Amino acid sequence: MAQLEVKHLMKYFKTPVGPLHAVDDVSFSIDSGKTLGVVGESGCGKSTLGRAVLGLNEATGGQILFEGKDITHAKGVLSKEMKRQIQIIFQDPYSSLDARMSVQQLIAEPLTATGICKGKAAVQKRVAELMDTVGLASRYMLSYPHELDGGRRQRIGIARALAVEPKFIVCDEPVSALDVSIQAQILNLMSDLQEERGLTYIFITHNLSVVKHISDDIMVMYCGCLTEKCECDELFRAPLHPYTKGLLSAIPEPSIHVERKRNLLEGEISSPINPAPGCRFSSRCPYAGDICRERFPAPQEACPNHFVACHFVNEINGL
Amino acid sequence: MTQVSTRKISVQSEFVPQKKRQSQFQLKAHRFARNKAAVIALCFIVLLVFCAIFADYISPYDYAAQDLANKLQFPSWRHPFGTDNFGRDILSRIMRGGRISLLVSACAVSISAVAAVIIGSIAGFYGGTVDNVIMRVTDIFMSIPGMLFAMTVSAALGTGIMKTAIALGVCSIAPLVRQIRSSILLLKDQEFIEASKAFGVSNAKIIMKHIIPNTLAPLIVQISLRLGDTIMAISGLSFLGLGIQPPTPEWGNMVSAGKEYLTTFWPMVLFPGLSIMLSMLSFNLLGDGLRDALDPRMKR
Amino acid sequence: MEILNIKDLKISFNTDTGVVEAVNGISLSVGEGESLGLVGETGAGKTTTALGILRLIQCPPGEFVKGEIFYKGQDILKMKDQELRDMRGAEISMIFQDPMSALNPVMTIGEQISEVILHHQKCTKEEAERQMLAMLEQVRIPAERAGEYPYQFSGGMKQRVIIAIALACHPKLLIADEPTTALDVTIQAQVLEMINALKRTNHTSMLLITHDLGVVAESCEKVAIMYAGEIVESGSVADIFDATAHPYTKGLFNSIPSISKKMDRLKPIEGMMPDPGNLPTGCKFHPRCPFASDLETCAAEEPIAYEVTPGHFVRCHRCRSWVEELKVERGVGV
Repeated sequence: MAQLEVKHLMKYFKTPVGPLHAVDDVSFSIDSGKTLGVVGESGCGKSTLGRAVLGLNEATGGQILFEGKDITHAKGVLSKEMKRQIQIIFQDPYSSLDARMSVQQLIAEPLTATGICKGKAAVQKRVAELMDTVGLASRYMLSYPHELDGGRRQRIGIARALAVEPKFIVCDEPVSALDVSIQAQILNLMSDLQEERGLTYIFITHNLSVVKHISDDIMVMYCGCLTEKCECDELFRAPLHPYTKGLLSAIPEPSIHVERKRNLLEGEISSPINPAPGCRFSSRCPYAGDICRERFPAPQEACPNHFVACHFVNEINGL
Repeated sequence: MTQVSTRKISVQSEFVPQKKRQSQFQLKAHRFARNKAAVIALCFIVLLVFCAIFADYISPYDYAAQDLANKLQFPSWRHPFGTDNFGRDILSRIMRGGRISLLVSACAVSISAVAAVIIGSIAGFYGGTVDNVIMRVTDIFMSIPGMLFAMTVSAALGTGIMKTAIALGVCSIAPLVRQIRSSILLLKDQEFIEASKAFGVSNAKIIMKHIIPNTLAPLIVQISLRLGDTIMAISGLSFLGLGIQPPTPEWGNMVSAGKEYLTTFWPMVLFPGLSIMLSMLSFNLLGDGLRDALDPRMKR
Repeated sequence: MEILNIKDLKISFNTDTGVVEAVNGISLSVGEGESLGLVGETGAGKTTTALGILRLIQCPPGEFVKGEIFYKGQDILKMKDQELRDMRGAEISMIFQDPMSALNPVMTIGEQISEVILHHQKCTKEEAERQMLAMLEQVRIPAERAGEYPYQFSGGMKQRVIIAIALACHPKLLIADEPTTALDVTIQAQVLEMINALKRTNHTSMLLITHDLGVVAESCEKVAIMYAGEIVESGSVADIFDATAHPYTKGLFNSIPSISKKMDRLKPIEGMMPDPGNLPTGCKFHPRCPFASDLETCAAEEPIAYEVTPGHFVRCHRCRSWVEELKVERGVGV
């Protein structure tokens, strides 16, 4: 059974000009111990999706099931228990840490808040253990976030998330603010932790090479909608949705031997406020027909376990 | 194997020697100490407070003792600041007057700070209609010129130390409310508040541990700036005859008393005037110094 | 012919806590019509170098300690203010990283482009407007949008406007400081392609500053890798990408997850960037270098740039001995 199941999730925000469709009818499921990569460009609703799973943004519609329990609108005891099980690692390890607290206080906060550790000595011991787990030297215990660099700050963020022994972590662009060499250290740390503790990740990012490296399954989002979801290697080998194709061919690769078939996408993402009916990608899509502008394409299983939301998926790919 | 070894290396290979740990307070004190102007201002304020408290013991003369034979004396060794139109020693009167000025401004600022923290927090946390109503009321208060407002209130309450304090306190609530509300609004959307929510930390704890400590620093800065402004305002009120009444010495009413002698005998206006100016300047410099020192994001 | 030639440039900042050596004796040159990619991580001194070329560094706290920057044979560091102002924008222009804050929000984009043209070329308003419209067409913005304000444009479109302003006076050298970092991948691809095309048609040289080796592979002929204020390796794209010599450059490549190859674990560079106010002795990279333990000279002596193959310079003690061994071996072989 899937650990997390999301069914027809919708999250709209009210704006003065009309509803902003941040996440529109997205369904997926993740098995325990796996990583689902969520890729998309800025404003495609991937962060909102992560926050909705966490309960930081209450969903407008749809259902979120965690281990079979409906947690969409969970309040009170269930919510508190759920909050412990599902954690988040933020993008910016600076703004997600209170600048007035030392490393020790920061890592102790979730421990005392959830009542996992009682007594000063127990908390102290657990903080030391956690710092060791994420590779932070114990001499930084009394340091403040602004004295540390981005990589170490992100390690604090990870230690905080791990403190409450979660099963499931939403990683919201955890390495985007870091330099490549530090980024690789953090990615390795995250894979190690997943292996040791059997964690499940939703890994939200715009960086396609990172998502390829860390994910088992990948979900591509465009303008609040799911466009394609399948196994990681298959997506990079045989993308079926025209947007995914454009996205993949746009990645600059650090090699001078890659023959590039340029498949440049023209135009830019359309506004998610009061979106027109039909496929959100139709304005940029080279294959778009009349039906694309009229009817919203529901994700269909084009190949086994390969979901694509496109009216012309068979015609384009000769399936 | 790889997991363990890589982590070890990453810890060991940090070659930058760690500086000796300083507590956060030492760090701030250190940062503050580097601002020379603020340190001088602080020294001056300490001196002022000392004089105000021990005025009765250290002042060379009794502030109220009249000596009409020696009236309107220019500064000399016997009377460093000279004597006034009743032959009272100006230095002693300034020391004693400082007590009133500082006491009243401290009371006034405490009143406005407490009221503003409560009102501002309510507006900031609850938002919506409550916030709207509070903000519109403060807008109305802020549309009245401060001095005029203080004069109206003190005319209604009457004169006297406590009444002046209340008058001045009430009229500086509105701008402080705005300050506190905006810093809370700014904090409310910070990611670290969201992070704490994700751990299931209760709202009360978030307010106590994150929001209040983070609003404290700007509040302290505001308070020190307000203290300077209030000293100015008290003197203004007293000068107009609405604040502290003679014979109680207060810098403002001392200037007021001296204005008739402005062309012939300058010490009566100059020294109390200088006291007002220097104390206000000091509080402003102190506020600026604190603002720089208390910002935790300032490196070193 | 060389457009830009930097010789042994050293820039430092005098802060309250001591001297921060941001750029430490770098030398590089950009030929006519050539693109040089300056690659490095945060704090490597890339942006300081770029601002240094235009002399846009505030002095003090900044200080040009030594070195020369020749633009077409003229030392920029010895230019008078008026000469500098004439050069900026007309001869050398710069594109900044953040398209959101580089435009004046209360001027239409058309005005902002014509302003630069009017400033540098003595021409009529009508002529400037004609050139402005031509420029907009080159960056593929419809002419009717010239009267719109920056807030009406998206991030990618703003960056196009900034490119139009930078290229309005047909500069000989374009300094692009992370021009696509703030943009999404598909928009990044559009903008990069446009910069490359414009560069070809106008025969502009470019100094491209980036941390993304992928971007360099796409638009540069030469590469210089910067670490802690020094250029540790430089050469043609083929030299750097296929004959990587410096341990830091190798570490950079190993840190990037590959799209085309499957790998289980990344091999990152251990440790962190050194604090530029407190640099290690000897080779700046030795505390993080996996090979440094072999040679005691690494911690003691600063390596000098060594020409491994013609045009491919490496600053590493190990490379030097390694290449000499190779030469001896080959000599024996022949």
